[in-house]
Amino acid sequence: MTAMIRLPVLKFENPVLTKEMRVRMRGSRAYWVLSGYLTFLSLILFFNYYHWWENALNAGGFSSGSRIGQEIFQWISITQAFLVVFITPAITSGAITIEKEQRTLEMLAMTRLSRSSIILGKILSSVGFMALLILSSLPLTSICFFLGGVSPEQVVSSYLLMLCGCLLTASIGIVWSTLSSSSSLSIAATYATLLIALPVMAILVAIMQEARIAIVSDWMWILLGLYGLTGLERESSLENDFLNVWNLSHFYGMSLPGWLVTLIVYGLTSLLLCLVAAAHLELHPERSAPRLRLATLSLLIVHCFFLFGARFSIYGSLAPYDFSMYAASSPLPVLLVYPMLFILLMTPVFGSGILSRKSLARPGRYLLQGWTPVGWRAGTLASGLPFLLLLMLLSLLMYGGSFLLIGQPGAFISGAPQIPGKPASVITAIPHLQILREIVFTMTAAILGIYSVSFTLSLILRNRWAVMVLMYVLLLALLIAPAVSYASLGSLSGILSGSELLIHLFYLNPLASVAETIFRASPPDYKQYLLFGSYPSWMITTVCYLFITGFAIILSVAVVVLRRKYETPVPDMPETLKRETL
Amino acid sequence: MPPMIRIQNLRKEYRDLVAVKNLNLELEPGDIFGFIGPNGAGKTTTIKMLATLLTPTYGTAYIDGVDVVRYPEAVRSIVGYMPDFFGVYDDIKVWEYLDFFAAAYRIPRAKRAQIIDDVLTLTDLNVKKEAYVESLSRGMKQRLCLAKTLVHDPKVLLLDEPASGLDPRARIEIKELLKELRSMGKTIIVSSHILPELADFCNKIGIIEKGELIISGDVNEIIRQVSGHHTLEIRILDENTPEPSQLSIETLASQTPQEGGVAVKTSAEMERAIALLRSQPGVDEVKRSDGKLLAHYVGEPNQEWRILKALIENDIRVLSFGTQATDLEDIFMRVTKGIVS
Ligand SMILES: Nc1ncnc2c1ncn2[C@@H]1O[C@H](COP(=O)(O)OP(=O)(O)OP(=O)(O)O)[C@@H](O)[C@H]1O
Ligand SMILES: [Mg+2]
Repeated sequence: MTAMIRLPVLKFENPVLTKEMRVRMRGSRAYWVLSGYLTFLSLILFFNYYHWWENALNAGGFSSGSRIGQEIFQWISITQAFLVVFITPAITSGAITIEKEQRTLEMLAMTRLSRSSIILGKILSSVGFMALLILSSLPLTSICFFLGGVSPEQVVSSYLLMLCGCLLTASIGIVWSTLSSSSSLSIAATYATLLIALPVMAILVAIMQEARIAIVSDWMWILLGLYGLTGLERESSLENDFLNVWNLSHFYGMSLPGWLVTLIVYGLTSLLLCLVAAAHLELHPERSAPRLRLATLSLLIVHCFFLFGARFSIYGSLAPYDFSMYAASSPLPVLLVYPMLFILLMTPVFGSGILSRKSLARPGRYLLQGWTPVGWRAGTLASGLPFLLLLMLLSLLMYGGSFLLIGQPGAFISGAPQIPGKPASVITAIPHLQILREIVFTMTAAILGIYSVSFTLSLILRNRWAVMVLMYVLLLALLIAPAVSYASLGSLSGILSGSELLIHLFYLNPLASVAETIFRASPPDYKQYLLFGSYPSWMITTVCYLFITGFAIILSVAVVVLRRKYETPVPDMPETLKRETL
Repeated sequence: MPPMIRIQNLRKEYRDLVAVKNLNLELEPGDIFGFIGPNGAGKTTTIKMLATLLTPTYGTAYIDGVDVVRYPEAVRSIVGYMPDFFGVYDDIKVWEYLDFFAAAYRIPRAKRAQIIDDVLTLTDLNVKKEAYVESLSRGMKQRLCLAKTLVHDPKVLLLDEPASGLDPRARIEIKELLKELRSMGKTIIVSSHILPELADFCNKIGIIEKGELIISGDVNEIIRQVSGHHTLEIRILDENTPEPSQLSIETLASQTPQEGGVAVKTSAEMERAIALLRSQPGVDEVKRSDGKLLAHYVGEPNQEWRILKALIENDIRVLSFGTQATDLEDIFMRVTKGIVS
């Protein structure tokens, strides 16, 4: 027998990728896209250069080339970033829906291709094509090298960031593509996600900053992708000591520049999105339910890991800067706000679903089953609540575990770990356990309330998508309305008028209450305008949500009873033929 | 020999509707099973469950001994499935299309070219190898889909209405192709509501209605069991049969013999024949249509010749004598009549 050397790399083959690339590169389409892209970039570059040239002539001399080099580089990077973010989803958001529309998905599913390799092929082919576009601009960028002022690291990192941004938007597109039934729906949803997510995140950042939850808002900047770009510029300046935690220092003992952190976060988020997409591609939904939950769980764990890790590293031994000011002004439990926000945003997903006739026949049994492994595996609506509570428990455990990791478990009681080399008095102790207790109460009530509202809506509307959309609109309104109302408040008059009454919705914003609990030393300004302003908000929030829960329970019992009474049983065999959709 | 396909209590519920009710079936290797039922009977649902594309609510099926519910991946590589509605990719050539599926079935690259040529020859698409898929006619696309279904040489073929929407010629082509596959020893389940189409190459049939397999088994067995009787078609020389030139729109429109006109008068010979047929043992009903006599035979099998003998002995000029070809249709109507109406 002849000896055969088998290289696993050479054996790698993704048929989907091969096919997609074949089709995409066929004909003149790819060529036209490429030349359009380059023409656009060249025009941008030309105008910049012309502008500089003219200015220089007017000023009677040339300013330094390095400035214009940097300027042109930034223009090209930003333009490309925008192009990438808006072209990529157009390619991927139709990737799976087109298979559904062409009725080819079933045949694809029957092959031996795994779900993830289908997703991988689709993603790689679109990212590959975009990479071609991006890399084709390298000659243009190299002009900046001639002009100077741009470091190779800057160029490499900005190209990597662009690729990663491309990957992220591609995965958002593919997730929508697996969820939607038609391409138009998927494309609309993808662009809506991009267009809504950016401003909404920005607003959230603003709100959080209002509530002085700096660390969360910085985390959001990273998610927004803006951090990577700012990181490039801030590399040298030390004005914001928090950013430096991310920029240069010892993230879990490693030195990571800002763009690399963004890269990692983007990469991991894309990976998880792709897993979600693969899970949704699974033809047997009951099998994908546990995987989806696992993905959510790991998303939370990864984010908590990064978030907690960065902050707790202040208390490690390696800190190159003096963070004592920062640590003193921002109590540790503030770290919990991000996971709590995450859980709140996840509640409509796990709180909506379809209730079968069978489960409605014995509601008590159905609800109880949600707490057993059987319900978990099936991913029933009833198992949503225990799962959400588990998410909360998990984030609390990770938080507690971080005290162990830095070797100061005792600090869990005071909430003020020591910074090495600093006197213990730098950070004042806080009623840590009490704060945690209040957070748990508020959040449990809030999750219960939101979950039961969404459960009731599922019962009434019987359409999961409608419920989710409605719930998200409600949630965002709750998070944004009071802040807007507060911002529009007449500065001095203590009396509220009309729309400003919305400010009381702060009570329904569990995050605001949690923030108030954490920063108990200085209550927020809006507190003076609120009814019951002298009571701690978390109490009122908890009570409100318990009321909402009770109301929702009564309503759903009424719906079930009424439906049993008045609804004529569905005939055994409806005439309409419904087609199975994947 | 162990059964190639064993379906056990297979059941599928969609919310409030039971699409397939506790189906049981066994097929030997090499069986061609015709799956017949009206629209919405549950054929597609059953086939999809066998193809692992749907999970049964209850029960399971074994294909070549492999459980479709527990090991869908293993099953997928031994079955070829052709959906009732399917599409093809745009902008791709016929051989690339097949190459894609061959790769997706993890067939080593070196073997693919040969396999593609083989299946193209089998489906008679060799000339179209370099053509773009979207340029093919409907019948060719159907054959291409069959070719794709064959690339991994599956033991079992699940074909959901492979001839739907085709013209008679293309239908015959598909039929020839299925016969060829039968000769290759594959076990095939083929669904259809066009019955005669299945009659000449299926060795087993099953009739499904409202999710229930009303009857299943050997084709001839069923024909005997259910019908035990069939329709004899007899043409006799009839002086009053209109000449083609005499045919007018009206005569065509009014088929009933009573309503005057050229074709309506029944000759004495015809009257005699009808009376004679009615008196024969085993004939329970005689109708006249289009100048033919249809006698419903419920007597002993293989004794039909006695009727012919009687006719001839009575000097009736018989032009042709035979059984009607649409036996399956007949069975189908008979079996499903009560439930449909
Ligand atoms: N996804 C679905 N949701 C609800 N009901 C469905 C679904 N798919 C099929 N059905 C129902 O199941 C029954 C069986 O459908 P199926 O498609 O299996 O019939 P069929 O025998 O293949 O019909 P046809 O001859 O029209 O192809 C039908 O009544 C149909 O309405
Ligand atoms: Mg069908």
